Amino acid sequence: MNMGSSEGVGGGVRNANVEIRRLRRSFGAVDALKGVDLTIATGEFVALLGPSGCGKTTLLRCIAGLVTPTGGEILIDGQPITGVPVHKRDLGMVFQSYALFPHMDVGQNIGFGLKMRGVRGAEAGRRVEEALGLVQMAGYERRYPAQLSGGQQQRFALARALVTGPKALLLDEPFGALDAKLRESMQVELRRLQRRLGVTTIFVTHDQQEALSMADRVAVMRAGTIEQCDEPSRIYDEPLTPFVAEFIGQANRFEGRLADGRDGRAVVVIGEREDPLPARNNPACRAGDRIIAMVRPERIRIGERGLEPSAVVRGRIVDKVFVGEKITIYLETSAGTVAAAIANPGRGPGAHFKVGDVIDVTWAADDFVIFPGLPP
Amino acid sequence: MRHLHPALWAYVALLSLFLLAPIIVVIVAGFTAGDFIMFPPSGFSLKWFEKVLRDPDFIRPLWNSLRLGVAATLVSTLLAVPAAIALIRGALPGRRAIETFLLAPLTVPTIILAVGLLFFAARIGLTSSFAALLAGHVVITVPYMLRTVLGVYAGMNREVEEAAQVLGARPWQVTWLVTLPEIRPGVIAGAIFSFLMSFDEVAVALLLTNSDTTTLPVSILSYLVYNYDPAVAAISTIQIAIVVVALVLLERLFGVKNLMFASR
Repeated sequence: MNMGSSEGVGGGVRNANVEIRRLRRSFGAVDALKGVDLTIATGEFVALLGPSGCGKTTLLRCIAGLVTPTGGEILIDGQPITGVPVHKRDLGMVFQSYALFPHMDVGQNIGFGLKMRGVRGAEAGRRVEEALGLVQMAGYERRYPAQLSGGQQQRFALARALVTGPKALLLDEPFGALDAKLRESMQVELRRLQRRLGVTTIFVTHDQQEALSMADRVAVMRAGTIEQCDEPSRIYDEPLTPFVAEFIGQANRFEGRLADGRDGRAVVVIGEREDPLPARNNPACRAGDRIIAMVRPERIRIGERGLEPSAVVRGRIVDKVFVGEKITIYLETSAGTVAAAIANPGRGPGAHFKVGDVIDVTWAADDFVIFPGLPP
Repeated sequence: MRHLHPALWAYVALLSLFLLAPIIVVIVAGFTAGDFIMFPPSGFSLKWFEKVLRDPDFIRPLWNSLRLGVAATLVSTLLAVPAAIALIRGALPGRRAIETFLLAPLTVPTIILAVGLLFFAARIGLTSSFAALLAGHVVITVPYMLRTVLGVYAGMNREVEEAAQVLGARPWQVTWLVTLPEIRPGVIAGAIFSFLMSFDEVAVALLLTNSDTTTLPVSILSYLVYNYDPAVAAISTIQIAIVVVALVLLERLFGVKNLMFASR
């Protein structure tokens, strides 16, 4: 066996880059993947994010070899693997259900991949122990999966995927079944472990918070295509499509017309309003076009007006929702309903707003992004 | 049991009595000192057991039945387990139809099956041999095995097999190291059903056995035609004891209770 003893967790993970070219997959009449391109650098952590049915799990399963693509190619370290059977791909995978072998104890579960590679005896024992150490679960070798909590099973599934020193780690909604607190601590732990080992990681999730906080890059998927693949901050602040803007975080969405746009500045007319509002220009929009304009609730300020070009809109408070660290105020304005999230002021200024008040809200032109709208 | 309503208690007791009474009567009657099957028996004696255990007309059929039951169970396991795995895993065309076909013997009265088998065996020259009998019992037992295995396998988390593949297991290793251990409860439950079905099957055995291959149920039946002595009760008690001992052993080894309820 050439996948011998110097490799694996101890000898370092064999990092590889993953390249996906024009990948297609249809199930009957349904196209789950419609020509996906994605390149994942060595050691990179990429999250595949999207609503259910967007194709993210199909894409992951294609990489693992559990689903055969209808077209396109997958390369690992430049080698095409589309024709390579699952058991020869040398990848690690963590399943949503953890998929631990119920009839094997933890030691046998984690040792399974080593056994398949002909690693036995003391060497296998040492590496199992090491993998258990990685997930901070030393001493659990003799337990059976049914005797473990969800969080523990999660860790063992991770250890089992890493112990063979895979070329890449694939995770399919691994934290989906955990409660919020545990989920958060596992996210932190996985991220730390991933950085430490430098293993190329592809992570499927429908939880945007999870994707944004963990990944180096987030690929937002929709209906079998990748809408945008970027660093988390760019995904959030510079969405390329209305779908990305609305799927990630919250957004106030307006329909209107582009009055003028040049040099990164745009002037838009929203709904029936007469006075135009300043916005950030989008080269894809031309003057006179119908557009969709969006601004995030937390970018909206109340009262104060900065020096930069800003939109100012007057509205009547129709609802006030207390969230905790922030308060969401809903305003009825000439542009439609606007949600503004303001930091919880405690007893400070702004605490006195109540339903029925008429106030001015403002947001910077840079935070007002526009996209081509539907043709008239 | 503590929280059972008195009326429900009475119902359970009555039902248990209804189910167990015939068996109790037979067992008790076997220990009689008298010459006729009587309940309550006249005195206690083991003489009928002694008679039965020395009588080759009972012992040979008992032995035949045991061999047949074990052989039918083994053969149906070898046939039904791969079939169940293929049915669940494969995107076979006509999957439902194949499954229905394999389960079909359940719906055919065994006497009809027996007549068919008799003609078929005669036609291909297998008359009255152990092989014909075995084939007949396999037809009867395969659906039981198939059902329990299908039930357990369909309820299994299939991601476990995928996990094994990703970890480097070849297809045969996935089946051998993961699938088979996972569906073992279904196989054991199916084996118990198969053995029990074969062990007390009458119709097929009646038509396909000869004097060398007579099974216990057939010999009891033919004995009853001319005799009404407690030997029948004694041999029946032995038959019941074999089944009970087998179930207790399996319960100890594998936890049959869980198996029976695990299968659908």
